[in-house]
Amino acid sequence: MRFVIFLFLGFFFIGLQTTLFQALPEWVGLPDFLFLLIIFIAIHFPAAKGAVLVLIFGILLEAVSGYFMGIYAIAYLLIFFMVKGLAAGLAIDETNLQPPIVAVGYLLANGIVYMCTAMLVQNNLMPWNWGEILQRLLIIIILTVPVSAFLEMLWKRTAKKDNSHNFLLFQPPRGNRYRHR
Amino acid sequence: MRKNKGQTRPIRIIIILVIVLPVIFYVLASTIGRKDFSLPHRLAIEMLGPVQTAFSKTLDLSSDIWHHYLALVQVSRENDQLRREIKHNKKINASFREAAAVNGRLQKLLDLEQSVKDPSITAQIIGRDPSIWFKTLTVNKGSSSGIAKGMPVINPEGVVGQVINVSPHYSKILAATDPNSAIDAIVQGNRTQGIIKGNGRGYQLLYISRENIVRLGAHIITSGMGGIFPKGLAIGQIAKVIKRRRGMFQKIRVKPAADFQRLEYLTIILHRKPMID
Repeated sequence: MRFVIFLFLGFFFIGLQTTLFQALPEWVGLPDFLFLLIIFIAIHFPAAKGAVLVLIFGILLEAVSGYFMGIYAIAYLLIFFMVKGLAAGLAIDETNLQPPIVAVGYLLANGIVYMCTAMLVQNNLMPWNWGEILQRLLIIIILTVPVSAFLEMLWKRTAKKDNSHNFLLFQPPRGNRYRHR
Repeated sequence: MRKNKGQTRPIRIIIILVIVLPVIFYVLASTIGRKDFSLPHRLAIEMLGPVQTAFSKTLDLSSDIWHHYLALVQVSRENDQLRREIKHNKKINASFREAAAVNGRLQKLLDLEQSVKDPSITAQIIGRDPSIWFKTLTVNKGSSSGIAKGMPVINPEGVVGQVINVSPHYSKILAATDPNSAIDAIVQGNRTQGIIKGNGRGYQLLYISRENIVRLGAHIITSGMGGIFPKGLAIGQIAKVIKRRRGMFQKIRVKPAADFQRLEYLTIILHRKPMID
């Protein structure tokens, strides 16, 4: 259930980023909700499910962005496993630790995409534009806390749904339900 | 409860090692560095297309409401400006008609063959590249409409780019402003040939030697040499010319004829023999 919900959310975010967000004024930049979703998945999802989700997001993005296939999938999977590794050792699910992780991850993801493209096309590459990268980085840092809060809420709500649907484990309370009060 | 967890863990690890990891490696190994869509990418664009179409329609609807209802305050001002523009355009139109008539006569005099125009198809842009590094567009027509890789894409203002990937109902277009795009071009005034390459926001005209005199504002058109774009399509106007002390060539910046920020509908020329790999 969660897997499907987060998959649809990825679709929704890519749809937003390639259409409605393109109409935003240039000084606002382009918020990368998908990247925040990937970081959230890396922190919360189990490795196998999360990796499959991230791979699907990479393929979806490649279908509408860039000209070489496989680059986004690789970049996002590397970031996913990096954050997953960090999450095992640090409590990065805490809100105040997420913006720095997102910032470093975002720069790294861009670096991987840039390097892979540079290896494939050599001269025909867009110049590394610090101004635009830092602008997008700032937006993504600002958005980290509210988006994480939204995803956290969704995560908890879907957990409830998961339990209620699992009728084999769910047992209605028996006896006097006021006894523990 | 603990026993259950202990039992499921090895099964999970086996599932990851036997199914998930090989699938991920297979997908990555079969797609990385490819320019063509693989099956997962074709599926991805087919599934994303309707989402993008829905969002684009929402955007169109909201901008329509904005322009027709909320921007009424500016209508009278715009009206005056449009009247002035109509007068100006009428003058230009008259001179164009004259030029077209002269052109027609010259063509007959020179006994030039009438160029047979290829059929074309109009498609709507439903998505734009969200990344910093690439300039691509997604349109709502694909191979089922006769579109194939390598076909040139234009709009009434001029050259826009060329098709790089197709799925049955959607296509991805490499904008001419992308650094990977290269188009054979001619400076309309002095017929100097060069290559137009994208630089993200505009174009650069390459391989124009220092001896050639290129004037600011000169129009650049397609040469028809590359075999992709028909001859004579507007590309842009020369915006800046830098002549360095050293080097064989000039550095020339070109302002695109097409306004890439406001593209909505594109015309794809259904060229019979796409030229790119």
